[in-house]
Amino acid sequence: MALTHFPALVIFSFLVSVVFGVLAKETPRERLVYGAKVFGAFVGTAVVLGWLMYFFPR
Amino acid sequence: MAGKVLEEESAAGKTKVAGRPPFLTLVRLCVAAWLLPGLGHLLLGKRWRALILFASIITMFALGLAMQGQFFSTGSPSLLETLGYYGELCVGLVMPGARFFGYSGGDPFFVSSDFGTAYLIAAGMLNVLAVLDCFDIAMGRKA
Repeated sequence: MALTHFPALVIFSFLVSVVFGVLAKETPRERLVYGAKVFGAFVGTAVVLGWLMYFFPR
Repeated sequence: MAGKVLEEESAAGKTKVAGRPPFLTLVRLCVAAWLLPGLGHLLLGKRWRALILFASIITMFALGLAMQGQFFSTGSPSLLETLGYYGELCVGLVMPGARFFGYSGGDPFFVSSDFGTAYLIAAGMLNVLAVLDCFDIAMGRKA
């Protein structure tokens, strides 16, 4: 299965966020919210770092 | 831990913390949790948590195999590769199981192989978190 970087990153972030949400919080709602925040942080950080690296020469 | 009560066990003067499971029980629980992701939580009666952990960690491992992730070995002179081996081994029986069913360790020249290797090691690391969570629940630190 050949994946490019971004889909691999999104799937990885999703799976890690699910586990983090389940382990870190107690109620289903808290788990959902925390998992969503972690997922957003993973993907958002990757996008920000990607754009920061855009300005570096090849 | 707040609320724990100490009581004397015998004339030998040993003490134990009320509510703490026996040491062998903790060991068996942690080994079970390591061998199969989610099994420790299932043994503690946390069925949904067990199911979600099992599905997530096994999915991550399976995607790692599908992307031709590399299996490391302890025979490598590189410390990082040795650490990678132990990281992959943390996922439990599925790693030797994959070897048994013919996964030869991936194709390092495949386009997604590096991602696959990361997935394999991350699955092991997530299982370590699951084992620690299982231990905390058994000790009464978490619900």
